[in-house]
Amino acid sequence: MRKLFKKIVQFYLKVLTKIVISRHNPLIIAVAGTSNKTFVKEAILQELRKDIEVRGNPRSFNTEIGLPLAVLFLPSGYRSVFKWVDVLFSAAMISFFGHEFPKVLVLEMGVDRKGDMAYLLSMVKPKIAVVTCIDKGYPDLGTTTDDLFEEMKELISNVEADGLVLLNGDDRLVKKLKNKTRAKTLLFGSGEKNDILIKTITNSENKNFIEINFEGKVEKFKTDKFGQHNAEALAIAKRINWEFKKGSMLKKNVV
Amino acid sequence: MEIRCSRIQGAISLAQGVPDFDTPLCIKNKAIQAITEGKATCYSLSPGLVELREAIEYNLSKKGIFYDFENEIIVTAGSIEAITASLLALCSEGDEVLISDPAYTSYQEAILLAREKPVFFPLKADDNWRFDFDELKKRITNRTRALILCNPNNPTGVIFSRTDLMKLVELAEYHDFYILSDEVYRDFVYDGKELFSLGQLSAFRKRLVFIFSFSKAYAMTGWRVGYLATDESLAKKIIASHDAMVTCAPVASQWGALAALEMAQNDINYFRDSYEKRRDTICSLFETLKDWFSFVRPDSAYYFFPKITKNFEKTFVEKRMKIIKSQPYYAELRADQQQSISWLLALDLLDTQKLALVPGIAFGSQGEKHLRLCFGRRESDIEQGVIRIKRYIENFLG
Repeated sequence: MRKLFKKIVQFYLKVLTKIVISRHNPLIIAVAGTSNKTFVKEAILQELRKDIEVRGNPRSFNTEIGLPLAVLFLPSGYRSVFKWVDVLFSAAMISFFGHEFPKVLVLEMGVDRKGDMAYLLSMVKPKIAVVTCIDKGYPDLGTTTDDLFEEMKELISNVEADGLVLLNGDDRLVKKLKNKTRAKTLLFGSGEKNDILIKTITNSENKNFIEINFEGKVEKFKTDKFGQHNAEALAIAKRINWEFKKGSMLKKNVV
Repeated sequence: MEIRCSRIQGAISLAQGVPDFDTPLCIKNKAIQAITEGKATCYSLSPGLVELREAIEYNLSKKGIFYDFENEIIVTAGSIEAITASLLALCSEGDEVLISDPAYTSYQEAILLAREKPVFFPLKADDNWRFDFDELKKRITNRTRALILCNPNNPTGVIFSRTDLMKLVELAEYHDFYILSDEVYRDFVYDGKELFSLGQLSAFRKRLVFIFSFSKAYAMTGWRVGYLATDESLAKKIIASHDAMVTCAPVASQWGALAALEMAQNDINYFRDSYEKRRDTICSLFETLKDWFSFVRPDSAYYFFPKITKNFEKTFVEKRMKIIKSQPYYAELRADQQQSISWLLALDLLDTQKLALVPGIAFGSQGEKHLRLCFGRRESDIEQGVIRIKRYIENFLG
């Protein structure tokens, strides 16, 4: 019974999400990978928010039900039927009658098993895609890294030629995705051959700096955060913001 | 005391620090789902599930505490495993570890297990249980390697001020020791007060191990899951002892902990509000016993730590000691327990009123003449507990 209810809710939300997306036509930035999605998404949101009306999905709202809820800007009903009734009613109102909608959506795309990405892409079509890493933290569901690779391939191959794909050049598998898309592709990471070269520096007072080399142009930023993943997140966010400011790939109404 | 209490029919326990709430449903469901899908069958990586560590970093960053989930966060089997693993990794046999008096009893056991020497420094009982820095300094030697800080504090329920914590940091820097900051009650701070965490001081991160447990905050005491966060240089050492002790924290519990961080904020708010109400209840009930107890109103956690008055002590010694000494349990006590008013009072309350409390002496000598009551328990139990204390006073001391 629960499974049937979930299926119905899933289908209903998918239809409404497609309606709301087609009505408002936001630019979608998809962030995928087995980890570091949240930090990248948060960094992009923080960076773009300065100039643009932008919204992201909450941390765990990145799967078949969570993603549409995030697009519709609604909470989960969790296990309460009453809450779900309220959520589903609100979803219909927003899709058909909602006037306000952000110009840009930054969405984490959570993938557990084969076919998940295709399902998410049936609702949203990203203009920009970021793939952070492909590895298996926990051996579950019989999903292999090859399966995850195919899922990420599905994502980037759906980005149009005038879009942008950012790939982690330090990740062996992610790097292999480079030629699987028509869109402009940039590699990021600490390896010398990356297009966006990222270095973290911690000084003697435990103050953290991130040095980003954007295809020859070096910029240095101070940050409170630690770890290479946070440096990558900041670099990705800065680069995407730069593309927005340049306006080369975006619709006029965005910025 | 909890074991003795479990053998007595009709007994009420306000002894052990366990919340009376059930684990939130979203947490249970996530763990059940993980088990059903085979995601809890094998070990996780020793530092814990990547998803969980990521969520921990994200959660901490919202509080101004920044650690790298890949290299600086280790998911542990509760906070006491985090403390033990840290002591084993960072100190050597014979090193001295400072703990406050009073302090959570298991700290001492963890220090002894690591073959180190616990050194107690007194908190100021008459000054809201603040640090007594003069006394603390006297106890620092060249063997001092660490200090365990419980903030918010168990058993006193106070939170330490930023000023005092900064003084502590200066001492740690000057005398070259680590601070293990156990912040398991950090979500239960009342009256709109703010908790300052040493984790917010990036400059101090190489001397700090930040410790948290899901047990109290999310009513998950049986799940045995917590975490520590520390600079990479220390985490590298601690992971070895963590791995040797438990390999990894229970994986089903780790999935539950992930759900806790992602979905249970409303539950935490509800718990906090409930505990605050219970704190108010217990304080107002004890207001009526002012001739017999004095107390500091707790700012946080769920412990109430009243002290018996001189009048109580005098009457108790006069009227009850002889009777207590004739009880079978008296002969089973250790000599130090036989000398302790708080031990004898706690046992007498259990024996005559079927009420279990923790004697203050269990937390150190400064705790003597105090009792610890946990107001994380049901409100009806709290009210009934105080009724039984009143009845005890009326029947035996009044």
